[in-house]
Amino acid sequence: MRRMRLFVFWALAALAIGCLNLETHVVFFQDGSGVYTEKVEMKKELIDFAMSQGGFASYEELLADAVQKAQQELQGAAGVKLLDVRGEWASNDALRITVVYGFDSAEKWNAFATVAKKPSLTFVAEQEKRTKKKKAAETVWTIGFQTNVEGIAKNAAPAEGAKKPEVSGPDAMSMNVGTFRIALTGPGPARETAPLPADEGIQAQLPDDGSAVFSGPLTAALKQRTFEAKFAGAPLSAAGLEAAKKAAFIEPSAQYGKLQQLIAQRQEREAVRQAGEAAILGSQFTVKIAIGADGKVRWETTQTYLAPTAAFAAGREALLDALAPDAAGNYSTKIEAVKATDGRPGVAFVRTRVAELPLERLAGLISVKRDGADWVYTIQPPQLLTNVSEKSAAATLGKLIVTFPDPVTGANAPIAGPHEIAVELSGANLRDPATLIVRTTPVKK
Amino acid sequence: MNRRLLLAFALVALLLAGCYETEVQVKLLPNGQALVIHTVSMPAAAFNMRLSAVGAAPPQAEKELAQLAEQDVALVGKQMELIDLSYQTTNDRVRLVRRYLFADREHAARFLDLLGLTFKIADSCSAVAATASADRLDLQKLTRLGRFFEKTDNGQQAEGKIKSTSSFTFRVTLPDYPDPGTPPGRKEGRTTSWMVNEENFDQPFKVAVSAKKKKIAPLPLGRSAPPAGAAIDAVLASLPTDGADDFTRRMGGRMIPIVHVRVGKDLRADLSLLWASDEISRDAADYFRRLEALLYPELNVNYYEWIEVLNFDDQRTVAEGYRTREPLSSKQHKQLGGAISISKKDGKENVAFDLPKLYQTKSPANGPADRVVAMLVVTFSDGQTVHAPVTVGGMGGVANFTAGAK
Repeated sequence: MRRMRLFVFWALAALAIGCLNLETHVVFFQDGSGVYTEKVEMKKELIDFAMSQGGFASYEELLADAVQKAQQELQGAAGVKLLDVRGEWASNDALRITVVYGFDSAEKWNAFATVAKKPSLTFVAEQEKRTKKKKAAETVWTIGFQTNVEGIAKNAAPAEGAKKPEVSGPDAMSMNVGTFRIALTGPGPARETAPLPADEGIQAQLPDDGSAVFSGPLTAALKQRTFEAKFAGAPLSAAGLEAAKKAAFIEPSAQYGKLQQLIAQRQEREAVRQAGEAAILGSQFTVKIAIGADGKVRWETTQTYLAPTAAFAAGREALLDALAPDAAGNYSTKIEAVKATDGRPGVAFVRTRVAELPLERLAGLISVKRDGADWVYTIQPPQLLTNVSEKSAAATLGKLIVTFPDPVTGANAPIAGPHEIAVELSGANLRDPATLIVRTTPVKK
Repeated sequence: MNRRLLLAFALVALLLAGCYETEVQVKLLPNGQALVIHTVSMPAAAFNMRLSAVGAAPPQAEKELAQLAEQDVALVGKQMELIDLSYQTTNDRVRLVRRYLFADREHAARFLDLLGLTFKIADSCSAVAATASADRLDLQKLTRLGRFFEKTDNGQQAEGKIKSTSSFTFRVTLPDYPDPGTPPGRKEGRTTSWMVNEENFDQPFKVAVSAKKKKIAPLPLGRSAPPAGAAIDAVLASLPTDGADDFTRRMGGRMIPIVHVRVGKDLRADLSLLWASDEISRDAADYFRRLEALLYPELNVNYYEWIEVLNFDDQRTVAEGYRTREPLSSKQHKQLGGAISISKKDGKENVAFDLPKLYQTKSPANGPADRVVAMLVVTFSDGQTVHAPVTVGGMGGVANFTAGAK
């Protein structure tokens, strides 16, 4: 989420300071499949800025983040795949990032484009009628490229809670907004382009390579519009089509392989972090403290480990019991197979302290003082967590049950019985533990 | 390129610049040593903007900050050791934590002097008192961020355009519980803390806390045998293994218990129960370490919180946990069931660990036989330190360490 917000911030800055050049190349084959290539050129200063804001250690990490984002967008998008991502220095101070997708049809691309806020495409084939001049039947393919303003507008919106900077005066006037270039390549050579408004500096060209090229200032492409061109020619044979596809589908770059490795490392790192959190969430504890009238405390704890983390965590617990006998030796310990309320199986270590504890030995946890006829207990659960995710903050990780010798007459904790309080401790409670105050009043005899 | 526009878009980040939450925690350990945890937290956007302005990427900043910490160690002397420096980014904040261990309290005071704080300890037979003072608090000194520190724009602050949220928290943990009469300060167990907001930084800072020294009688040692490994294995074998092998693969080797036995000349054993973890597994390791102390009151009474740096085959490992207040004699260890035996054989000190019979039932959840499940470390009375890993395959055996043996 944080990275997304930074990306938005970055995109906003990129658009505003005008160091973004955008180049798109769409190749359509006669069967409707194709290749979509996007090249974004950015100034080094902006890349450095994005790196520092995102906390990326290298350009590769920045690119890996872009790849991961693209892969996330592709999840569930059938018929579209990422073929290559690479970054190369276009000049000493500009980095060009190239992203290449392959798609099975314009429809499949558009389904993905709607989600990923990318331009949508149209591809229509029509058989041209024979004329006296043209003896061979030709096919006319119309390729349309419709800009996606919504996606750009979304990226250009200020980050949540951030103030939109106000820019006015000469600086606003002198903004250099970058350029765009859209190249469309059809199954045959380009014949013509659809008319475009002349006043926005957009140029349409039909170069010798058979493509149709539109170019101009980036602001012109930021408007909702369609760039369209017609291509004509005789359809290729099956072998010819295969050869054309091979020529168009590039091999993934070596850099893409390296980025994939970086992503795998990042994903593994995240999996480990999640495993650490699962270990905490898969462990539940209960501490039962029964304070006697003589000031002696009966101490019982239950530590439960639930699958799938149970085997690892319980093995570690048992090993510690064996290697720290001066602590564990004070307890009668039972090992029990248990089931959590959600049905997950687990193992519980139920420990009962053989000897009762004098209350004053629990000074850091419980203290008591007299207040008139009453006894006022102060219970301070320890801080067990420092960093807590939203999931852990909401989860109940432990329970503290305290029984008092006299009836409870007031408490800032749930009263579970005449002499008892029972507090459920969530991750948030264990990060910021609250002091519990319990007042008990002896029964007059 | 239009720099003014770039700066305009960075306005939000700049507004947050100079907002630092700094915390210094001084833990006076019962063995006379001191641990100082120096934490600086700031908005990530502002800090990253600062890095951008000085032309440093986060890894370079981390490296430079480590160098700064090493410089402080050089200034204070060998009695100060940099335990670690962590650089975390969570919830849009950068949190920089530097931890130092001092051989004595005087050197801890020398370090605090670098932060602009005068720290004094009065230690008598019956009480210990700590005071910290400063004519005024200097945020730049307190944060010790070198060139990565960015001063708050006082002009804008004065005009009310920026509301500073900088603060300083000072925490002192004494070996004993502080006296009830200690001047105001938030008390949590043996720790007392004070917080000052930036608007009061120009006021003199003075805090004090004292505690009467109490002889902490250890809780008597019980002799209950831990549950047999076979009983645990039987329950574990009944659990589904789906996902358990993946979990073990990821966490095994990252969150390792370490038992460090320091043998005295009289064969008394000073025992440390520690946890080693890495940056990713630290939260979980810390949680279970702290939970152990809640579940076992013995850890709070018979042990104190301890941290040390161990070298395993040239790999620096930071281990945190608990160290015994009163070293146990070999006879006491024998009474505990003999899991750790300390003796002299042919005039040489010997420490043997009886490892429980765990992981005897084959299960993918156990991980491979060479998975390291714990580390055993022994320091003999002549200072020689040896270590050995405990593996899944080695459970049920005996780990033997003899002084002088290679």
